[in-house]
Amino acid sequence: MTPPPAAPPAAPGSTETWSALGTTVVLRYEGPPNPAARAAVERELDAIDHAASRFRSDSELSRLNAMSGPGPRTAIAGPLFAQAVRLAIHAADASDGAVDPTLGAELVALGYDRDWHELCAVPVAAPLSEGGDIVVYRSRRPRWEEIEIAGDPARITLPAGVDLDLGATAKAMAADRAARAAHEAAGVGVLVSLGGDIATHGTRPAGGWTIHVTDDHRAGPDAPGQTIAIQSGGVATSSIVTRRWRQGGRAMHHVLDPRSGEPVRGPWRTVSVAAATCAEANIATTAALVLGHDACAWLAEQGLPARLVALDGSVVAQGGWPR
Amino acid sequence: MDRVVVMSGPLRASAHARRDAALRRLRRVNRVLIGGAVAATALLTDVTAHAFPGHARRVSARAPATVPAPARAAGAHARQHARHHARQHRRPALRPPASAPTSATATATATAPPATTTAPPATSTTTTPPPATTTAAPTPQPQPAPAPAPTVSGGS
Repeated sequence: MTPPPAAPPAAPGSTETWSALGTTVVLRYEGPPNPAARAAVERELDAIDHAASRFRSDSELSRLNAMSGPGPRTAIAGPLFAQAVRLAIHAADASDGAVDPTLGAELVALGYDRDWHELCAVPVAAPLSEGGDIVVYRSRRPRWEEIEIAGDPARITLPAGVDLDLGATAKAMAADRAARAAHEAAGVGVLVSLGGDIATHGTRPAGGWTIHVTDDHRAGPDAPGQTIAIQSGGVATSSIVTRRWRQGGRAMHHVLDPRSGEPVRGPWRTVSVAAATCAEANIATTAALVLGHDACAWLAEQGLPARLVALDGSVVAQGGWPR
Repeated sequence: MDRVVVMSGPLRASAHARRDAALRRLRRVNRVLIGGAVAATALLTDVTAHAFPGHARRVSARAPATVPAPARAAGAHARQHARHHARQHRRPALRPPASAPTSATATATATAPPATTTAPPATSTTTTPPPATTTAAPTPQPQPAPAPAPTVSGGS
């Protein structure tokens, strides 16, 4: 009698990938496939989309931005939208305004007024200067300190002429919330990646969660970059070589300098940071791109492990980031 | 004895014309001075407003519940001062990870069991037991599962 074939080795974990929020979702967890984990993530992503998306007219953010009138606009916010706004204000405060949630009107003026997939995209491989240099032609007054939020339920007041954009923080916050929700639903260690913003929760695999940092999250694990392992918390990467589009003959990207309202022109093309949460990591990466030459000192002051890639491809690793 | 000067008609008209012209010049100078003062005041106000941003913030979103009542009642100037002081002396606002990342090549060979970070390890649902052998015949040894590809963190 022929012995039955050996069963395949036990899988170390499960990985699911799908699209949501205009980007790629990766859900990784220990053990066999568990529908409860994915369902929990999908609920969180749907909730954040309804609360803070700038690209759907029925979101709380869009309805607040669309309120008309000459003076300040006030609305009662749901708990999730209030949390997102509070985080955005905290991001601005922590970065001394480098991460500014009041750049919604500027992004629209630069052409980023629809979902990313509908824009005239500039290839990632295109030179950064394609389409001519970006010219800073004005000085912008920061307005984020004028946002008011208080009470329960939260009452949010936007100053006149200010539109919110929570793109620098809401997605990372959603990754944190989704990882926690999936962990609570499935009872296992979970990693959630939303377009390269990575959050973990619960037990970690032996050796930690392996993460490959590179310019573009769509490039895959073989792209030039570095592979690291984290034991907990989150990792985020921000880059000016992705999410670029063309307007008026100029190549734009989505990271704006609050001082000018124009796309950032600094010495870094990509910054990766590890932090206690994905949201905090993403605040740091965005701030570093905006701060430019001051980024290394600011990141060191925060005590955050970081990897900064200069425009010429040279790499700076600091704060305990592996070399 | 007082001297009486009697000007003829054309001479009197010329003096009136000079006086009127001087008054017009004076009026123009006054207008320029007033306009300049208004413009200078506006400019100075704008410069001052930009030099001290945050004066209009009435609620601190960062810690709304921890601001003591006297501080809430204080004026804008006090809030500016407190904010400036806090910026000068505040601690880092973002939290680092519990442990720094490591090179994946160094951790790939690690054999330590999974560690709990925020919750106790799951029991029945976390692991799939390795396949059990059912016969005494020699069977191929199960190979260790290949390490999964790393998750990619990049710009999006």
